[in-house]
Order: sequence, then structure tokens, then C-alpha cells
Amino acid sequence: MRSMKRYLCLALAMVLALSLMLTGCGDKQQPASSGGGDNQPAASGGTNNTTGGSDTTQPVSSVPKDTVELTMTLVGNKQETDTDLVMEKINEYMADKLNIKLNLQVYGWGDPYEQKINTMLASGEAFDICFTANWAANYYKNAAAGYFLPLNDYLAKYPTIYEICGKEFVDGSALNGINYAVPTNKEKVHNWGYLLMKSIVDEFGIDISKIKTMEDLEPWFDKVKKEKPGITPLLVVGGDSPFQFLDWDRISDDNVPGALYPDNRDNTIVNHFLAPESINMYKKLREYYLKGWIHPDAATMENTAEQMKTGKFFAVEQSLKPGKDAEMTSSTGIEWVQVDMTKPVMSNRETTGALLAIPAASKNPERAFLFIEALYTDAKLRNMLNFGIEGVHYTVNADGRITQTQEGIDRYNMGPGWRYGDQFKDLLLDNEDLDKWEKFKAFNDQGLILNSLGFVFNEEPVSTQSSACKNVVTTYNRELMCGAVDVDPIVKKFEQELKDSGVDALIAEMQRQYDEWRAKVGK
Amino acid sequence: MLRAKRVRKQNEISAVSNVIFNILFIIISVTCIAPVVLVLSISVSSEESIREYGYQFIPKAFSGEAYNYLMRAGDAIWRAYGISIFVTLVGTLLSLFVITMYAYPLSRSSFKYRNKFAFFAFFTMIFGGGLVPWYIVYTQLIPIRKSVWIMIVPYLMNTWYMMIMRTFYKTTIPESIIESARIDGAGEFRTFFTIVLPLCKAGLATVGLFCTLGYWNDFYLAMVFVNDSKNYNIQYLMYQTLVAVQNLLNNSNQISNMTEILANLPSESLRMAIAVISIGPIVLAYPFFQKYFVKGLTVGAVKG
Amino acid sequence: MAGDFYAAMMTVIFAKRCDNQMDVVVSTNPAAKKKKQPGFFHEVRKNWALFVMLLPGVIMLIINNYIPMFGVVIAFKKYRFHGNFFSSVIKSEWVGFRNFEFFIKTPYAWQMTRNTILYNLTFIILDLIIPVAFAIILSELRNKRMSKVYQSVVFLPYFLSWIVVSYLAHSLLNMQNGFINNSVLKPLGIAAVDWYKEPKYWPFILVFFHLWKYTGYNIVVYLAAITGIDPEYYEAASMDGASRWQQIRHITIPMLQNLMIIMSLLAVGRIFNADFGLFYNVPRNAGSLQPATQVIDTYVYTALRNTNDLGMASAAGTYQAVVGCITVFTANLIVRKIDKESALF
Repeated sequence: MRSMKRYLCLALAMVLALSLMLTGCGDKQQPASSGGGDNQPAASGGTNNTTGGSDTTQPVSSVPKDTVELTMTLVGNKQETDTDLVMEKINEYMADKLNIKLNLQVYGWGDPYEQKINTMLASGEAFDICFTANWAANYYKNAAAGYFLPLNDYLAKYPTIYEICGKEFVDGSALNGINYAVPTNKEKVHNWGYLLMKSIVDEFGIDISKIKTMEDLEPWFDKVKKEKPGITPLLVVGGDSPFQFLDWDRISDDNVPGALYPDNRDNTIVNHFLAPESINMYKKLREYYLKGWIHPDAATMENTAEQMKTGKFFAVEQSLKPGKDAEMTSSTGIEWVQVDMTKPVMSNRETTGALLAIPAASKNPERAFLFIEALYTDAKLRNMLNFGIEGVHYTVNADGRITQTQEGIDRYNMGPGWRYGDQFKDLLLDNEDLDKWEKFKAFNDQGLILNSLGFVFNEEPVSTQSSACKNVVTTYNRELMCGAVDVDPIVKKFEQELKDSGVDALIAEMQRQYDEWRAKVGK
Repeated sequence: MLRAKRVRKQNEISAVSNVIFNILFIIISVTCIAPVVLVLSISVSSEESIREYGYQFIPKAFSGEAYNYLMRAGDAIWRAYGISIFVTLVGTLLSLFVITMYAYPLSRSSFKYRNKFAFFAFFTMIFGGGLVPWYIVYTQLIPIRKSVWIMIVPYLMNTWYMMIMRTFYKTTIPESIIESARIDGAGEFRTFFTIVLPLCKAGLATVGLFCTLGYWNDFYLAMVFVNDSKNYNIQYLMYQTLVAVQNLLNNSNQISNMTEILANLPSESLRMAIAVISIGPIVLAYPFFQKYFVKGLTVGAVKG
Repeated sequence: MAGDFYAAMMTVIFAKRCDNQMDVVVSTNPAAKKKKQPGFFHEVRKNWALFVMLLPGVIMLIINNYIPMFGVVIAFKKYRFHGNFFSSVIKSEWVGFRNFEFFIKTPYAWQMTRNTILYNLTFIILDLIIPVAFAIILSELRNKRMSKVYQSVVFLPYFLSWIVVSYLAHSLLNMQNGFINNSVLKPLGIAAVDWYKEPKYWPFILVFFHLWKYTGYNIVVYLAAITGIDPEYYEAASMDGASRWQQIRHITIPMLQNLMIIMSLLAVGRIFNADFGLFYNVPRNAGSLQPATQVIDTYVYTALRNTNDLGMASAAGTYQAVVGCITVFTANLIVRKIDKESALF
């Protein structure tokens, strides 16, 4: 009987312990408050932050009395080991300016960031600054769903960002006139071209300035094929294919049919995968493939950068910008030269390439906005965020460029400054061009501003067709883009399946919305 | 030296069958071991040799660069191992506790509501509310998110394992034992802990093994809930690194300033090194549990 | 003889299906005032220890599974954010079945459904036959030490993640320097096959990988069950003159029967859910393979990628759950008709 009592006590004790653990020793949490918050002193406790509300009425002219913690999420490699150290320094620095404490959370590129942020947004978790883009935590969709605060009021009150980036650029990411996020001031245009292996360029004496079109390079491909048996003339991996030279101005995601011509010739949306230019491109790539200029396993190959490192490929298509070849030379260990193939263009891709938004559930939107603004104006803050602590993570050279220390590379390698604020204020790494920013600015000025800048397509009325078409596209386009299959029969199937998936309705809807938008905005 | 010919024990399969089966299993074993060996070997090959020659069972050129790269994360790795081990041990023990206790009444034919409770558990296996409501429960209703417990609690009650346990109870514990214990005056708990559980060692070992593996291999909970890098477990740490590498390589278009990293990234061997580190000590789990699957441990319980 | 024991072990009691879940929830707390079943309180008092045993599990299930279940309603709404999650759910617009359309009205609906079901059926059947057969063989091998070694080795593939497996598969199957094309087909004089382009091989490839990864794991359950079988039966049977094969057929397998049925029923409940890692990673997302490798989970993933549409995601999950429910209920019913005690509930 005694041992039974013992077991009973044991069992009850464990059940009790379990329940205590689960209920947190009597701590009651209300739903919709921040999860398990023990260090989030809210400035003003607005729990139901509906759209457009700001929590203070008077402009913040002097340093605020209360310390507010801002949580900022960024996409990057991972949460760097020394983040806490750097945050301390930043908090010190910001104490007498904005009186905030920054809590930086970095999540990995791609799926980890998506999952995390989407869940946080959907569940109404209170955080303050969110990195978003058309390719990360889908800016358009999340804005349309009401997850982000409209920033028009703040922008009106604090117009610095407009001044730094240019009103057009900032408004390019607005949804129906409402700005839900602010873009990073960085390259505002894009163009495509080839990167060529310098050693072969030198050996064959290729005059880069004479290469203006794909055809110009063909005799060289031939020569490489004939004289360099170990080297494949053209590397094609997934979307890194000369198909990009067509530079379609896509209305929706990458794999959804529907685009405009990139030269503002008209305002008709076409199914760009089946446009005559595209079909010609497929045929040309097929030619290349059959001639052995493209490697046979192009359809399943991955990792462009890895392949570039092998030194077994002469040319590869890449998006270009000033200094791209130097960058790729650095990172692959092989020397490249770049050849432009398309003209620079400013499109929605650039305006929504890197944005900072304020989640609707944030408790400190105004302070968050001021901090975001600081990222545009305060170079010291930026460089702390980018590179860490001077002397510990990096050292400054005589010419003003910086070198990362081993500690910096291992423990605080935060990565690209194009994710926030004004990138042009960043210090340059020692392997970057001294006039990098000047060149960027010149590059930006060259760009043609596309008509569609600012247009956002609402996929909802045709979401079924969109999903189905996406599916069809992913089935066929990879192979077409590397010439691995005979064009005509596949294009026929492609066409048929797109039709069956409702592509006509999809494009019609795109056109309808586009025309409506143009009428409204007066273009 | 003469050895007596091995007498075929009275009740065994024939020698011929034995040989055939052994051959069968040798072939199977090769298909199972070869990939693991390959993974190991790639993880210690130099990047250049991988690019030149592809995957080889014996590296053409050895290099520790992948492991070096991982070790530069320093104490983060050891800490993550520690977290994983803690989570696995505590999680398995608690899980076993919850599961074995829940399954027991379901196996008792005299318990009127056994099928209702079985259904109560089973229903959760097929129906769920989705990621976000579940996320809210753990972030807004129960404040364990900032602690290590967030990686333990959601998996405590596993219906699949519970059903297996129930079947084990039913098949290994005859009603007569329980009857005789009842007659001897033992209460339910006593019967359960002193008689039933010891008889079910094989079942306990099975569920214990599954729980151990489940906890060890999981990175999902860490990915969804854990924000503090001090609480990462080894799987999530490795997953992060792996995904970071993949994305770096696939999206070099979008990433400037990554030059240093990209230049020195031992990517192929790194991925395999990550796999090796993730497996780590858990390979030893199976042999540990294995001894409970040996016949004969539960003999004698039924007699008398 | 074995049959007798078997029958004796199985006691037959009719099970009533639970109609009202909330009844159960309310009534697990013995102190709660019940309104419906007067006999219940009495039962609790009689068997209070059993209820206490159930308690931790019930608490966990409620917290982890039943509370979140209310989220199912999102599947029928166009989810828009209104300040916090709960008011968002309430205020979002009801759209009926619209969220279900994206995977039902697509021309691929049949293809992915067919693939999902066929693969899962194959897996269920093979996961029954092969692990059981192997478990029996392993326990019959004469050299026990070798048997243990085999058991450990067969388990190894389980530890490799599908991502790693996809790299290995690629090194096996790729067109240029894959192991199969170079070292197996070439010497035999057979032309190289572009594995990643031909969908017709992939059912076999995927089934092979599934078995390779999970057989070791599945064997464990059956091995454990086999060790629990009293050797006396075998001795008695052999004294009666039965050969080892007959013993296996008449003792071992019937003793495993219950477990086999339960495992199958559990798997059947998930017949509409595919192993995402396998179907997404191993074919490397190659477009031309989709007719053979596209399953519901991969389609939903691609469609919802870079979209934060809670309603659609929830709809997909609900759809899989409902179908799984129907299938398992039907299967359970059938099993109940044949042998009541073997059923899941």
C-alpha cells in the first residue's frame, strides 16, 4: 500500500509540475498581447492598432523620455553571433537621439524568412520594423491583406525619405496611392548582360566594345567550343539564361504569364512566355544547345555561383550593375568582364526590391518610423548595423574603405546594406571600387522609367488561374530557357495547357486592372 | 583442431534459407551504408577535387575546410548540441510518461470510455487548425516561447506512438495478470508501474526510440518559435547554415558584399559536413535501444 | 494453440462511437457538473486512477490540437488583418468555398490527387509487407550478432535528410556523370538515360527511396512486437511437428496482425498527405517530371509560395484532413466488421 501511495504522489507531482510549467506559474496572458513579453515596455499601450493610427499627436522634437524597444526583422544569412554586442553599441548611440533599444532579428534567405514573417504578421505579433520586398514576405500581398501600416501621414510629417530617394521612387511601391513601406535608396534600375571569362577574352583578343547583341558573341562561342574542349561556352542555370535579355516587364510573379514590353512601346499586356520574341529566343537557345554551346544537364543544374567557380564556362548571363564583374571576380576567384546586353530600366522590381514596412500590430509606429528615417540619414548608425564595431569587426583604411577582421567575418558578417535606408551612405569594402556610389548614381540616372511603375496587380479575382498557370510554367520554362527540348512541340503543349489553365482570363484581368489604374493615375 | 559441426538447433530455419537471407541483407546493408560513407567522404574532400571528380567514396584530396568553416561558429555549435541533448532527453522521458499513461486505460477492456478517448486522440491526427492558430497558442496563450521548453512541449503527446503503445499493451499483457494483481489488492498505479511497464520493455523501447529520434531531428519548432539564437538546437543551426549556403549560391544576383563568403565557401563538402554534424551522436541511439528488442526478456511473465 | 491464446487475449467489448467531442472534454474533469451521463461520474469514481492517467495527455491534446482547431474557419474566409488575430478572424469576410478553388478547379487537380493516392497506397502496402518480412527474417537469422548489425545498418538511411538524399540521387542519376549512366549502363552497352526528363521511371525511383529511408524505421515496431511473443508457442508447435515456416505463418504473423492493422489504419488517415521532403527535393523540382511527381502538398507549396494567404493554406489543409477523415472512418468501419478489437476506435 505504501508503494502505491508513493507512485501516486509521484504521478500527481508530475502532473502538477506539467500544469505549472504550462501555465507559467500563474501568469495570465491575454490573447493578442505580445507573446510572453518580459522586456517589451510599450510606450503607449494601444492593443488594437487599426490602420493609420499614430500613437502620439505632438511631433517628436526633443529626445523622448521613455525608452522604447523596437524589434526589427531582416532577411540575411542568419542571426550573427555578435549581434548582441553590436546592439549594445547601437543602443548607446541611439540613447540620446531617439531613446530606443534595437532588437534585431535576422532570418535566413528564402523559406525561413517567409515562414517566420508571414506567421508573425498573420498572428498579429507585435513587432516594429519588417523587411519586405516583392521576393520576400511578399510586400504586395501582405500590404493588401492589411498587415502593414500606411505610412503616408508619417511621410508627410517627416519628408526626409522622399527627399533622399526621390518621390517617384518611393511612390513606385505604393498600393493605390497608399505607401505601405519605404524603399532602400540603392540602384534604381537594372540591366542584363553577359559575364565573360577574362582569360579567354584576352586570349582570343575579343573586343568587348564591339559586342552589343547575342549574335555578336556567337562566333566566339563557336571558337571556344572548337578550341577549348574543357570549357562550355554558355552556362545556363534556371533563370540565369539569355532569356532574361528580353527583359519582360512582368505584371505578377516570375512564373506567372503576363508582361509588358520593356520599352514603353505600348500598354498591351501579353503572354510573354509565348510572345514571338520569346519563341525566337527559345529557338535560338535550342540552336545553342544542339551546337553544344550549352551544357547538356542545364535543365537540372543548380547554383550559378558554384558553377562559375569551376572555370569551366566561358559566358554566363547575369543582372549587371557598375562593378558587377569585380564583385563576381572576388567571389568566384575567376576574372570576369561584363558586357551589357540590355538598356537600364526602372521598373516595379526595383522599387519593391528592398523595403522596410511597419507591421500594423506594432505598438510604437511613430518611433519605428523615426528609426527607419535614421537609417537614411545617419551614416554612423548604418555602418554600425552593417559592419559592427570599429576596431573589433573591421578596420578603416587610409582611403576610407574598410577591411573586415577575421572576427568580423566570423561573428558579425551582416551582409548587404541594400536592405535598408540609404545605401549610398555606407562605407566601402576594400575590394570595392572607390567611385562605386558615383557610378551607381550615374547608372540610376540612365534608366528608362517604365510606364507600369507603381502598378500593382491584384491577383485575387483570378487566383485559381494564376496558380494553375504557375504550375504549367514551372513544368516547361526551365527546359525552354536552356534549349534542352525541341521548341515547337513543347511550345504547343505549353500553349494548350496554359489555355486550359485559364491564361486568357488571367491576362484579360491584368489588362483590365492596368487600364483602370492608368486612367486613375492619369498616365 | 576439430570442431563439432554446429548442430542445428531444434527449431530454426534451414541453413540454406539462412545463407540466402544473409546474402539478401548484405546487399541491403551495402545500399544503406554506401550513401552514409559517401556523405562522410565528401565532407572531408577538398572543394576542388569535388569539382574535378565529383563525388568519390575515397576522397581524391582530403580537406578539413568544411568542418573548419562550421567550427568557426565556435561555441554556438556546442551550445546547440547541449540544447539538443537536453531537449531530447527531457522530451523523451516526459513524452514516454504522457504517452504510456494515456495508452494504458485505452488498452483496458474494462474501461468503458476507452474508445471515446482513443477517438479523442486520433481525431487530432487528421484534423488541425493550421499553422497560425497553433502558433498563437504558443506565443500568446502559453508563455513558454522564450525558453527551451517550447521545443519540448508541442511534441509531448504523440497519438501515433500512443496507438502503437496501446497495441503493445493489448498484445503483451494478458488480462489474467491484471486480474491477479487486482486480486492481490494492488491499485491501478501500482499495477501499471510495477507490473505492466516492466513487461512492456520492448514497447517502451520502441516508443522511446521514436521519441528520441523525433526530438533530435526536429528543426521545425526552433524555426517557427525560437528567436533567441542561444536557444537554437543543432538541427536548426545546421539547417540555417545549409539554407544560407544554398541561397547564397542561388541568388548571387541579389547579394553584393558577400564576396568574402562566396569566395571561401566550401559548399559541397560543407553541406555534407552539416549532415554529418546533424546526425552526430544520435546514431548511437539505435544500438542503445536495440538491446530491448532481444527476444526472451519478457518470457515468463505469462506463466503461473 | 496460438489461435486460442490470441482469442483469449482479445476481449470483445462493443465500442460506441463518440458523437459529441465537447462531452468528452467537459467530462474529463471529474469535478465538473455533468448534465448528460449520470453513469459517467460513477465510472470516474470507480476508475479514478485511469482518468488521472489520461489527464496529462488530454491536457496536451487540448492545448496543442483542439484549441487551434478553431482556425479551420479561416479556410472559409478571406483573411484580412484587423488589429489582432482574433478580431481578424471574426471580421474577415466569409467566402464559402472560394479558397478551395485554387487546387480543385485547376486542370492538375486530378493529376496531383491521383499521384498522392497512388503513391500513398503503394507505400501503405509495401510498408506493411516489407518491414514485416524483414523483421521476421532478422529475428530468424541464426547469427544473432549479424542480425543486430543488419538492424542498425538498415536504420542508417533514416538519418539523412531529404535534401542530402537529393544530392546523392543527383550524383546517381544525372545525365553527364551520374553513377548509373556511367558505371552501370555504359559498360552494359545501354544508352544513357536522362533520368530527370523522363517521368515514367520516377514512380519506381520515388518508391525505392521511400522504402530505402523508412524500412529500417518501420522494422523497429515489428521487431519489438516479435520479441514479445512467448517462445513456448514455438516450442509447443515444433513438438507437434510444425516446420519453422509453418510456425512463422501460424504464430508470428497472427501475433503481428493487430499491429499491422493499426499501422495501416494510421497511415490511411493520412492518405491525402504526402511526404513533402521526398516529392519536392528528390526530383529537384524538375518540371518535366511533374506528371509523375506532383502531389497535393507540392502543388499547394508552389501555389502559395511568396503569398501569405492564410485562407488558401488553411483550405488545402482542411481538404486533406476531411478526405483523410472519410477514408479512415470507412477503413475503420470495415475493420470493425471483420474483427472488432483490431480497430482503431
